[in-house]
Amino acid sequence: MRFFRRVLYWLRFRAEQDDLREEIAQHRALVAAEFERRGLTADAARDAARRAMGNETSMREQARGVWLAPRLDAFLQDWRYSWRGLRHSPAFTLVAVTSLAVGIGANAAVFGLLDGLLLARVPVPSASQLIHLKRDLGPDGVDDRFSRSEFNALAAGPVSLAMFGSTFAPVEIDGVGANASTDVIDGRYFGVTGLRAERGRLISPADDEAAAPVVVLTDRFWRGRMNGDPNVIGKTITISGQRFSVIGVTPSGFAGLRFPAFAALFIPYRSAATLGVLPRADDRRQGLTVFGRLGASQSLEGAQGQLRALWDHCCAMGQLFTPAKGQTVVAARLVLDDVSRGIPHPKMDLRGMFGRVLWALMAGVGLLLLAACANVANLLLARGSARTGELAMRLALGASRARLAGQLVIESLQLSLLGAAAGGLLAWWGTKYLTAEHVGDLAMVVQPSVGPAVFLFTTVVSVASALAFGVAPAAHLVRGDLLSPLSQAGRRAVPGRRGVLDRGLVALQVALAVLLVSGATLLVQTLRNLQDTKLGFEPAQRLAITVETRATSYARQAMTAQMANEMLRRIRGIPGVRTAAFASLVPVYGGRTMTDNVTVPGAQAPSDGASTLFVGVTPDYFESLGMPLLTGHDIGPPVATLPRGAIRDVVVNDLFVKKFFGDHNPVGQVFRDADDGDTTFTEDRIVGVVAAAKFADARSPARPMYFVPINDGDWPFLVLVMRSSVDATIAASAGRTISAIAPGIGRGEPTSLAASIDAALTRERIAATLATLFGIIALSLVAVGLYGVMLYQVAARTTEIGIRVALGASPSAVVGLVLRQSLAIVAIGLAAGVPLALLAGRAVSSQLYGIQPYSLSALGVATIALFGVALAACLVPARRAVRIDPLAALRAS
Amino acid sequence: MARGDKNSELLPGTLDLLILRALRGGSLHGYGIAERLRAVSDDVLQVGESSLYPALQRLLLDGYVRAEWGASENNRRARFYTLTAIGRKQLVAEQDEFERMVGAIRAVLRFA
Repeated sequence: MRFFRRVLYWLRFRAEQDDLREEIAQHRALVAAEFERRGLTADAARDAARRAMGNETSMREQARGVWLAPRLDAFLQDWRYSWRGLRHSPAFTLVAVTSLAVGIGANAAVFGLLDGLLLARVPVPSASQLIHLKRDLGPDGVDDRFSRSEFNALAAGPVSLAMFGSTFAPVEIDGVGANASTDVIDGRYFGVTGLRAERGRLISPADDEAAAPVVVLTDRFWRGRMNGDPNVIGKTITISGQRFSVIGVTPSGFAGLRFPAFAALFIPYRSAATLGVLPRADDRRQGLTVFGRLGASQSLEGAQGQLRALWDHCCAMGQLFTPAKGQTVVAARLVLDDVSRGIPHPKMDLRGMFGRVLWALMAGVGLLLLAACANVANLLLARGSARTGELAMRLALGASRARLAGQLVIESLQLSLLGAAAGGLLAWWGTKYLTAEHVGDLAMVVQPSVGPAVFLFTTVVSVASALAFGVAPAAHLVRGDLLSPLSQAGRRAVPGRRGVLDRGLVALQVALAVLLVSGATLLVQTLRNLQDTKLGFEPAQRLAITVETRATSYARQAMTAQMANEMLRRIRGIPGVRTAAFASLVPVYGGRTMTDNVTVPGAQAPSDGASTLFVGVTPDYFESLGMPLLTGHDIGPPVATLPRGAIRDVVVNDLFVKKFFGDHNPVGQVFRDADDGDTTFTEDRIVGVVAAAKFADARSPARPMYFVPINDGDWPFLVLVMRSSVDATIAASAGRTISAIAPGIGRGEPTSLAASIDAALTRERIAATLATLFGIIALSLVAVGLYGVMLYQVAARTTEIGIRVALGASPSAVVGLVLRQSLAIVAIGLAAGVPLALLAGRAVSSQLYGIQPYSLSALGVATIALFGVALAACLVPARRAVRIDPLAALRAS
Repeated sequence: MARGDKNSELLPGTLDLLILRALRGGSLHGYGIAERLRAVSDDVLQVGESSLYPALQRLLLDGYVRAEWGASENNRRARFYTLTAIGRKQLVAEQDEFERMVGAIRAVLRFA
C-alpha cells in the first residue's frame, strides 16, 4: 500500500506540488488574518506571516523528501555529493571522462559494426524460423540452386516453401535508365517471409499465377531512385523494356533474404518468365533459391526428414532439371540450414572477409578500454590518497565504511556514465566516419546497427568498466588504515601497497600499448606496401563503364563488332578523351575472368598447368591502360566472326613468354588454346608482347596472360575503358554515344580506376587507420598514467629526496632517480608486451603484405615510442623533484 | 531529513501522535491543526509549519490520514485532513506506546 501510494504520488507529482503550494499559501493567509485581527496593518500582517512561516521552499522540499524511499534518498545524497566532488576537480574529471569516452565509444562503434555484420538478422518477423535448402553433391560440394520444377515438387510437401531468383535488369524510370538488382519471386514469397507492405500491397499468389506485370520496390530503392515519391503506387517503370506497375514498397531495411542484401525490386516469377526479364527462363533450369518457414511445432530435423523423403523420390537423381552443357548429373542429398542471418551470397563471403577484421578491432578496442580503466583506476587511487583526510573525517563522524565505499563506487559510476554519454557521441561520429563513402564499400553491406543491442552493450560495458576501475580503489581506500592520517595531519601517506598497484597498472598499459603500436606499424606498413606496389598499369585518369552486349527484349539488337568500332570512333572524338577501348576484363575494376588451356606445338607442357587467363580487347587497350608494349604491335579491331581455320593475331604478356617460350623471341610464334576437355582448338599467332600487370588486386601477383581480338557474341558484356580526365560530363557523353548506336543496351555506372583500386584497399585502410588511432590513444593513456604515478611518487618521496639533496645529491642525480623509476615501469611493460605483440603479429600475418609478423621494425617503433612517451611524461615530475627545497621538506616531517 | 525541526521541542515521533489526536474530533486543515494544538496545550506546544507539513505528508504516505479540498470557515479553499480507519488504530497504538514511555521516564525520574 505504501509502495502504491508512493508511485501514485510520483505519477501526479505536479498536481501534488501545486496542492502543497496552495495549502501553504492558505495557511500563510490565515496566519496573516490572525495578525491583522491583533491590530497590524494588512501589509505588516502579511510580512509578519511570511516571517512566521519560515523558509517555505525548504519546507516543500522536506515534504517532498518524505515520499522518497529511504535508501533511494541516501543514494541521491551520495549521488549529489559525488557530483559536486567531480565538479570541483574539473581536471581530474576531464581526463578520466575523456579516457573512458574514448574507450567506451570505440567499443560501441566497433560493436555496432560487428552487430550489423555478424549478428544482425534478416529484418522479417521470427527470422529464426527461416530455413534454406541446399543440395549436397558429395565431392562436388554444395549448391543452393534449384529448378522451378524441383521447387514445385518440394513445395507440394508439408513445409511451407517459397523461392526467388536474382538478376540484374536494366530499369528505366522517367527516361533515366540504370541496372537494378531484381529478385524474381513466386507468389508465396512475401507470405513465407511474413512481411507487410510499408505502402501499397505486396505480390500475392494471384499476381504470380496471372503473370501480372507488377513490381514491389524496396524502401531504399524507393527513397534513393524515386526520391520517396509519395504517389509511387500505380506508377509505371520499365524493366528490361517491359512496363511494370508499382504496387507496393517493402518495409525499411529489407532488401531480400541474402546477406549482404541488395535487392531493389521484386517481380513475380511468371511475369518475368513471360516478359523476358529472366533470360532463358525454363522450368527445368537450375537457378532458383528455395527457402521456407518452419511451423511452430516443426523442427529443422523433422522438416529436413520430410523434405528429404520427397526429394529422394522426385528429384535426387536429377529427374527435374536439365544439366548445363558439360555438367554431369550426380545424386544429390537435400540439406536444410538455418538462415536467420540471411542466405550467404555464393560469390561474396563478406562475413568471412570483414568479420576477421572486425573481431580483431573488437579485441583492439577491448584492450583500449582496459587501458583506459587502468588509467582511471590510477587517477582514482591518486585522488583517493589525497582524500584520505576527508574520508577519515567522515568515518570518524559516523559514516559506515560500506557507505563510504558505496559513495566512491557511485563516483566511478558517474564517471563511466559521463564517459558513456561522450563515448556514445564519439561512436555515432566514428560509425559515420567508418561507413562514409571514402572508406569504401563497407557502407553498402553493413548497416551499422544503432538498436537496443548496441545500447545494451554500451551500458553493460560502461557499468562493467565502472566496477573494473572503481571497486578496487574504493576497497583499497576504505579497507586501509584511514584513521592515522588524522593523527598526523599534513603528513603524506607512505607509498605502500598502493604504489605496487598503480605502477602495476601503468606497466599493464605499457604492455597493451606495445601490442597496439606494433600492430599498427605492421598494418600501416602493409597498406603503404600495397599502395606502392607496381600494378603494371596506370590507374590515374581512367574511367570504366560496363556495357551489356547481348540482345534482350529491351535492347532488341545485340552490340556487334561494327557497332563497337563505331562507338570507339565517336568516343575518341569527345573532347578530353585521349584513347578508349573495349575489353572483357579491366585490371582491379573487374569484368569476366576466362581461362583456356594453352599448348605450344613441339614444346613440353608446363609443369604448373596449361590453364591461362585470356582477355578480349580492342586496339588501344594497352595504350588506354598505360601498359607498355615491349615488342611487336597492337591487336586488331573487332570483327564479326573469325574465318574458319584462320590464325588469330594475339598479344601476350611477358610472364606468358617466360612460361611458354623461355628466352626465345616470341613474336611470330604460334600456340593453341582450347576449352577444358575440348578437342577443338584455336590457333593464335603472337604479334606483340606487353609488360605484365596485376589484374586481381594489389596483393595478388601478376599472372601469364594473353589478349585476343573480340568477335560477335564472345562476351555477355564488355568494359569500356577511357583515358580521359575523370569528369562526369565525359562519362555522360560516352554513355549517350553508346545509347545512340545501340539503343536500349544496358550499362553500369562510370567508375574511375583509381577509385576501384582505392575500394579494393578498403579493408587495409580501415585496419591501418583504426590501428594507428588505437596506438596513439594507447600511448596517450600511458602518458597520462605515468605522469600521474610519477607525480605521486615524487610527492610521496619528498622527505627522502630532501634528505638526498641535503646530503649533496646533484639535480641530475635527482632527475635520474625519477627517470629510473619510470623507465623501470616501461621496461616491465615492454617485457610483458613484446611476447603479446609477437603473438598478435602471428594472428594477423595473413593480412600482412611485404612485412614479416616478427618484424623488428614494428617492435622498434613501439619501443622507441614508449620510451619517448615515458621521458615526456616524466618532465614535470622530474622538475618538481629538482625543485624540492631540502629545508622545507625536512621541516614538514 | 529532520533538518528543520529546530522549533519543535517535542520528543521525536510525538508530532505525528499529536496530529492524529487532533484529528480525532473531525477534519481540520493545516492551520486548524496548529491552532488546535496550541490552544489545547495553553500555548506550550508551538508546532512550527516547517515540521507540520512534512509530518502531514508522512501521515499521508502511511495512509493514516486522507486529504480533501473543501471550503474553510471564511469560505476559502482549504485542504482538510481526516483520520482513516488504520489511522485511528495507529493513534490507539501510539498513544499506548507513549503512555508506556512516559510511565517509564517518570519511574526513572522518581527512583533512579
